[in-house]
Amino acid sequence: MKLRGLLSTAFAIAFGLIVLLGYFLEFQPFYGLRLIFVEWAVILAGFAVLVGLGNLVTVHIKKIRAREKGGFYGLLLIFSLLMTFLAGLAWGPEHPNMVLLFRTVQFPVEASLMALLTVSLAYASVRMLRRRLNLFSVVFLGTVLVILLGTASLPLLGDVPFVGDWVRPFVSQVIAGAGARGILIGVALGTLTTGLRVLLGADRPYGGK
Amino acid sequence: MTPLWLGLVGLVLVLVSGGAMLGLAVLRRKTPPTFREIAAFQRLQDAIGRAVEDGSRLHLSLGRGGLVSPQNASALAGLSALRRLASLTSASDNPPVATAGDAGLAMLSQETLYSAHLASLVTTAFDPTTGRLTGLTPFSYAAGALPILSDENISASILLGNFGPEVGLLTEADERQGMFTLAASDSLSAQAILYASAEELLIGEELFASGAYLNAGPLHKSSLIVQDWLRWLVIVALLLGFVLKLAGVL
Amino acid sequence: MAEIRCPMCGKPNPEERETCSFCQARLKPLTAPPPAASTIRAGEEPLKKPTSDLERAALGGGESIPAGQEPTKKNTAELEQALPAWLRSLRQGEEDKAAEELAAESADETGLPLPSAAQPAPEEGLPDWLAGLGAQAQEEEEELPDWLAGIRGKIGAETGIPASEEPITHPLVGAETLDRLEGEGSAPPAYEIASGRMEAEIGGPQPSGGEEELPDWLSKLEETGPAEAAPEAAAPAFGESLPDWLSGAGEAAPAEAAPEAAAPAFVMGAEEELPPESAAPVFAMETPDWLSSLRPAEGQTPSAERAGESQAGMAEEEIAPAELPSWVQAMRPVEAVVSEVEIPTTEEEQMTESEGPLAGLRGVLPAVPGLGAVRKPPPYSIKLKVDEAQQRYAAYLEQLVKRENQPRRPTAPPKAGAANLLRWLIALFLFLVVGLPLAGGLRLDGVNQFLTPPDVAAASDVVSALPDNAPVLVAFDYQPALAGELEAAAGPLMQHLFYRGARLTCVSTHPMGPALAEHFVGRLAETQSFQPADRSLNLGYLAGGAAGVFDFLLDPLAYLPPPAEGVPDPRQSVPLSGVQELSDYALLVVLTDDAETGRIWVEQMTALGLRDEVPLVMVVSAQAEPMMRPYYDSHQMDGLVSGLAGARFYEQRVSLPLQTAAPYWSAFSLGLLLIVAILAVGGVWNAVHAWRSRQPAAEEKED
Repeated sequence: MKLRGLLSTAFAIAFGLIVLLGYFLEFQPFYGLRLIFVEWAVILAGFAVLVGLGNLVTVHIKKIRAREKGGFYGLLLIFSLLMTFLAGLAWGPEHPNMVLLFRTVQFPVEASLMALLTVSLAYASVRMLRRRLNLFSVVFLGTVLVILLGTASLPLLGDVPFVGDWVRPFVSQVIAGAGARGILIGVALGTLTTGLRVLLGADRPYGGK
Repeated sequence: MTPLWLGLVGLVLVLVSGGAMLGLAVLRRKTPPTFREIAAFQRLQDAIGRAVEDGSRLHLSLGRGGLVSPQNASALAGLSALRRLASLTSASDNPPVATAGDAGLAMLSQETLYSAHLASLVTTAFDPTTGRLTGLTPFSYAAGALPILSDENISASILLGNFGPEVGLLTEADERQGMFTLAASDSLSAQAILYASAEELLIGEELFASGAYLNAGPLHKSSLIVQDWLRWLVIVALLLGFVLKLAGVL
Repeated sequence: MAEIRCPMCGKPNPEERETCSFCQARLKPLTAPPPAASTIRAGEEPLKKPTSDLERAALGGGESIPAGQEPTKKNTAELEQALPAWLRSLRQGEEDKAAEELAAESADETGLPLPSAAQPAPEEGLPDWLAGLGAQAQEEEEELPDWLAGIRGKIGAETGIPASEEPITHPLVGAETLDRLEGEGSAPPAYEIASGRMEAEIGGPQPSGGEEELPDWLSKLEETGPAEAAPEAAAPAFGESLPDWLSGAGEAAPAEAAPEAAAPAFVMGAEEELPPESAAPVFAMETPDWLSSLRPAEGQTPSAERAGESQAGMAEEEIAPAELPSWVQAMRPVEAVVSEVEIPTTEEEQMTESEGPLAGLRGVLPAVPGLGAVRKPPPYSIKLKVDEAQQRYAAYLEQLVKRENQPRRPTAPPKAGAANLLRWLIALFLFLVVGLPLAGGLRLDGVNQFLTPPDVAAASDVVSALPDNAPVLVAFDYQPALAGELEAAAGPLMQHLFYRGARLTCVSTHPMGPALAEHFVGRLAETQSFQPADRSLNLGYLAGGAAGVFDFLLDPLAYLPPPAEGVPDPRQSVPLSGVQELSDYALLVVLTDDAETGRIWVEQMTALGLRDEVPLVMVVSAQAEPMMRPYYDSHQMDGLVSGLAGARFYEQRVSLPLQTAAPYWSAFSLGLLLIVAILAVGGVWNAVHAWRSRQPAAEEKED
């Protein structure tokens, strides 16, 4: 285990540094190595989907065996997964039957979840001031109302003047946009330091720690 | 193609940042830096303690950021937090359960939990199903995580990673179960939703500070300091660009 | 030539010297020890004599000694007859073992060894005077415990009974010190040290100092007891052994002052003021005087006769140094201690007493460790020394304790029933307001008063500028859940592309993207009356995120499967006709609901230098608009259509035959207005509720 951890760490740091060098120094051999390693990573990520599906099946088999709550749905999930997988292998993903399967199952389910999210978000926004009554929450809710009003048009009356053509663009493009830029820059810096921690071996999600 | 000088500047910036992180971690080992208090982390520690005491579990959702996507940093931050949480709850009978919307991330979560299991010297066998892939699309991932929140005696839910609007479903489920929720995402749309729905929220780069606030190691703390330095660098660059633009140079 | 060892510094001096040549301490006492009287021989049974007789005698025949008069020496050893048998047996060495344990115990407490009971003591070193004193002390202590002795002076002042008849020793010289000096073999009796040095200093009896010169402790005692009854009663008791200066002081001092000076209780009191470093006083405090007096007799028990002879001899000749075995001398800890301490050698360096009965006298108290305070205790700051971390921990603890003591107001969870009812109501209203117009085809559109946004206009201009049958690459990078919005938002642009005869190549970085592309193109094909296969080619899923996009942009055809027999080669299909690399495409359209995904395409296009060769237009979800607009503003893309609102503008600008966005607009607007109403009313309601619930909490806090 110790040796495995050392090897994992050494490989991770070495490959990470080579890809990093290949990104900044776009000449050989770094550039070529970087492309090769990234392709390997893509292949591994694709293969990881299969491993992940195995994990999904294992979890639900365990649930069925233990007769836990929702075990029946686990059985249904495994059955659906296997049938879809076999159908995809047989027909291919672009076959009309596969598209039909998507249009009649996957698409409505996910669209329903999105619609459900509308209700959840409306309820959460209503409850927000009860849970956290402060200036920021009031500003947040006020901004939401302004943007929604500026986006919609009144029935038979048309767009809401001033709010739709001045306030909404100003808030969404200037204030919210500037804030979003600032947050994204902070996220980017956090991404940099997080990546450096992995390169330095401080974070080892691949084990060995 | 990126000009060579620009690449060199970027490389130097990265190397200097890494060196500064290392140096700070070594120099300030005896006098660790203190950061501003974030109430969410304080409450998280309370929640961890309660979970250990009452034998309930922690749920950590790593989001759906793929390892080969730009969002993997948030996932890595979530994995660091998972490692730390697993260590903190090693005394509990129930290890934390991690869910992910990306297959590679799910594998890493298993590996992380396994490492924590080995480090804790717990004699019980490791359960690989504590790290789970619950769905490959955002909403299927959220839908797959919902039964865990309701069926597996979860007392606190920590959402650290890349999410989209679907995170609203998870926070609503948390609220229905009456459990503590700490959420952070690098996605702006998710942050907007979390502001309204999550009990505790981390904004922006606070997501990447979770390791430092959970005492995951000196490099986590030093990386926060370096982040601040880089932020000042960006501010100066922006102001400089603004002035040069006004002067007509740019 | 005989030598005498200095009791202070322990160094040998010629016998004829009266003062030590090293430390100037007096070697020969100025007062002689009490003469030996009748003593009890070994094996004789002493006569029991009640001390009440003595007290009565003292009470009746007591005479005060005037100042300056030499008190009559009296051998107190005669009182040994009054000793109980067990004490005498102790002295005779019958209980050597017990004494040894006692000595060991005392040594443990003080850290200084005591002479072992089993150790043979040289005869010449036997302090017979101590034997007498010990007997006297034994007798008294048997009848009067320490606490009684402490108050005895007060009683004596009232009744005339003296507290003690023993000679005054220095109050700070305890049993341990005596034992140690005895161990030296040449140590004179402690009282001789004290009195001798005192007389050497003052040159005679101390005159009466009057009341204002009394030490504090004497003054306090004076307040506690009547002074008028004391002088006659106290003086005779001390007449035998009191030094002259005390004898003189006895006339002027309060009656109980003199007896109290000899009482053990004051020894304790005096020692309480000592610094903690001094171990000997502590030992003296913890050891009863009767035990201290016994110590000299604990060795090889001398006979009473020998003790008496020796005691008598001491008045005439110096005590010869003890002949200790060399190994015992090597073990003497006192040597080690003394050698490390600087002992004042000159008169000026010696300590002058500032308080107590010895006030004004210099060099009275020996500056040997364990015999007195040789230095002030180090000053300790009363300020608590804590570092920052300790302060923080203390603050945490304080907060914790405070929090524990504060009654917590349980946060009332939302009632599940009410919450679910509210959810159901919201869902019902949304379903009605959005669903009915859609189902009934209701159009409540007002006049669109606004101009087409420039980003939408730019997108339509790019499509309008495409050549006929141009190859267009379309990325379907959205998730199925948002397909409703994206298909409505991208409908006008995609319809415009088909209208322009564009040949589409579809890719996706989402696993579900290919299926979404099939779905979308299929719907459009139904409305446009063409076969999707004739106008579009689906390349499928691009794994690897940004890396996959990068690789695809480098060589799009590399993602195609290799040619195989019996399978039509996609490279020969209509959509890929004339396409060898990315720059052969006339336009790249990205449909995405995620700003991150859109950013990947923009950045990879820019990184590969393809931005100038291939125009880029994006159709994004409304949620991604704030993040994507800066890319348009900075000219990193050529057109942007965001959400249903952007599609509506696009549709109005291009005037397409089939409207795909407008049918949704009325329902969408009504739904938005309903949400606005719900948020406004619900927000105000909950804000008022939260504010009202805060009031009692704030009042409790104020209380």
